[in-house]
Amino acid sequence: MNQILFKGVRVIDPVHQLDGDFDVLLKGEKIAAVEPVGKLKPTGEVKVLDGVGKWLTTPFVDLHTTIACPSESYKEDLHSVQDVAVAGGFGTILLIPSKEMPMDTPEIIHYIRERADAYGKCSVLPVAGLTHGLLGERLSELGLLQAAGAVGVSNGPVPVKNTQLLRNAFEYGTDFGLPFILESMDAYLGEHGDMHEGAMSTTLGLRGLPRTGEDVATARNIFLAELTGARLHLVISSMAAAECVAKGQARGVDISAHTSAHHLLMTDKALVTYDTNLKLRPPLREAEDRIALAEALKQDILTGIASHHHPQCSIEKDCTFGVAGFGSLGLQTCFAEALEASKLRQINPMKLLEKLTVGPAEVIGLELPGLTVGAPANVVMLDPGSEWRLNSETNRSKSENSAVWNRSLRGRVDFTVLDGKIAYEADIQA
Amino acid sequence: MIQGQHLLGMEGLSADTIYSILDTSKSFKQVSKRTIKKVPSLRGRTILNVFYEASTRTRVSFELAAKRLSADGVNIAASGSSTAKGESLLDMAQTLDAMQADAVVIRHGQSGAPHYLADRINARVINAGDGQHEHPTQALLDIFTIREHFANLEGLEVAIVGDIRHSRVARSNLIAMRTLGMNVRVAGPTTLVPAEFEKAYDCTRVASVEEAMEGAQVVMALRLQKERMVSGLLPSLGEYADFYGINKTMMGLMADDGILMHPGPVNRGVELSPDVVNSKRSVILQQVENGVAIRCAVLFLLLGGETP
Repeated sequence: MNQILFKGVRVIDPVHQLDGDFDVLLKGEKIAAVEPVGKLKPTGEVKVLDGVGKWLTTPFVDLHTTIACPSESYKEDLHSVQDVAVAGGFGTILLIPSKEMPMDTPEIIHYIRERADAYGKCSVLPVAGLTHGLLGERLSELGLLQAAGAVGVSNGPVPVKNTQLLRNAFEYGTDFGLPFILESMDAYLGEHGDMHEGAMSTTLGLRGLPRTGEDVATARNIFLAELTGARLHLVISSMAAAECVAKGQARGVDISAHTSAHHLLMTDKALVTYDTNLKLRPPLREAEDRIALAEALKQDILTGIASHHHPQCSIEKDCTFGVAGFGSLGLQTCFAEALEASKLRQINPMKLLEKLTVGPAEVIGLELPGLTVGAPANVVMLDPGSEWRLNSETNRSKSENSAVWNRSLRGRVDFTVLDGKIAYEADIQA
Repeated sequence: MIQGQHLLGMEGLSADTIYSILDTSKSFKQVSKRTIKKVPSLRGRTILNVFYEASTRTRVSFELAAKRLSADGVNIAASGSSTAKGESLLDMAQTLDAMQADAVVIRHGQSGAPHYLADRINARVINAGDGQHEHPTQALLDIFTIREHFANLEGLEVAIVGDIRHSRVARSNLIAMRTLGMNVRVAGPTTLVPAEFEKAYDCTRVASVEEAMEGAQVVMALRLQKERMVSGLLPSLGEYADFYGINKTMMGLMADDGILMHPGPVNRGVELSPDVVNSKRSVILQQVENGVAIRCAVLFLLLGGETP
């Protein structure tokens, strides 16, 4: 039976709120022991890993990855995305529908689950398209989609213009207990926008996506959730949207929200070079939004940090900003970006890891066993002090459109173990 | 001072650099007055004019400038389909590089297109207007023209009026004018003069065109960019002309020595009434004339030619 021993590692387990230095032994598919440092003397063949200065935690859960398979599998496919995910410390990822892959039929949900499970490196959970083709005209078969394996519903990046239809969806989908994961953007305010609307978009001469577009839609979606009792999860990038969520939560509305690691790390100021890899939706906003988002995380208004992994090929990105596609890679750098951003509001490691694990898991009702004896051998070892770069050598994605491409990052994933198997091992130079 | 660089915008140019371009332009303006309007400064150099958008003034002006400097200039009228993504611009960049151009003058409908090109080719890149971003040589020729009327630019009162939102001319001028210490007021319907301009350019937004023109020494009217307007920014051209167009009576609000500018082409009867276009205060044709001298100076300085 395979044995892996993490010696002297700092265990930070958000599931059990455990934080301390331990020796952790994995045996086969289970966690066999969590003991004070130096106590464990395992017999037989053991792979021993020095854990001093490193963190051991439960694998991350990503709420927001966008890929299109099989139509655009040259950008990322259901296998490569798992390689990227485990290299980023993720054990579970949610696939959000897009125009290219609306995930609006039970057959495609079946296909995704089967193809992903056949590779089996990590768990890939599809989120079904709320409307056919995401066109916002006809409700998808939410019950059948759920039966096929969808864990939630979303209209992806496309705003649902018809508020009555959205109300119907909330009422109907709630009968099946499905959570709604929505990007909130008004269909008309900033319809043709390329970046956050403000002084920066004005000087760059690029079309704006105003905060107000997000705020108006966020408020609408929260009021509808209040009316219908729907379980609503929102993607947030603006200060006022975070305030809307906080107010809704205070009124007892069943809402949660997340932002991406990119939005915690960067602002629209970074767009000065017209770098198309920074063309994101929602867009990178201003410093005050960034600070408000970090504060909202600290105060548990936001439940998670997501990767917003969205591979694009060079045709979409090697062009002028106005015609470039939206999206950046994210899975592999999410931890490093979030770690750097956590310093902005002194978010402690436990809280940070909560936002990458139990927080997102709760959105879809996923229970994480955490790091306890007898639990499945699912762990991630992180090196918070190690510097690295995402470049053509380290990148695991089929695409290269990272917002932090070749930028010096601190915080590396060293090992990802899922069900006792080493899913990822960093190429560490001695 | 700017030799070996690109001219992508007025952003980042110091007052000293601007003045040195203006001073160099003065000598080139003299060249334009000679019978033989040619100097050998850039003999043997290749300058490509790549225009993805239609242009008469700017294109001809760059073409003439290259000829006056004895450079070999070639015009390329590229079709700028924005739906073709960036492939065409990437192909164009590689093609231009293969032709060993020394300078590429580019006009493109997408903001940032010259920056994209500059990152990918060896030649010096000159922005001849990119989307709604910048049009640096226009700002330079505007400042040059202003300087012919006002020896001291610092503290000059300027009004920019009209469709500022979609105007690269306004943006480049705002940057240059603020760098040179001029005071700028902007006016027009709020849909065309968004509040962000005040913050972005440290200018003052005033409620009416009349208020902007009151005591102004320079009034710059902008072309109403009809083709760029998403529907709903204005109810009608007629209403625009009534409330925001400049007519003869309003000209009386300006300072006694005030001048009227416009980057052209003018929509007569929309932003300017026909009688003011050719009035005594109008310097619109001087702007066109000075455009050639400015473009001579820019090409000369970037490519490091010999003194004219």
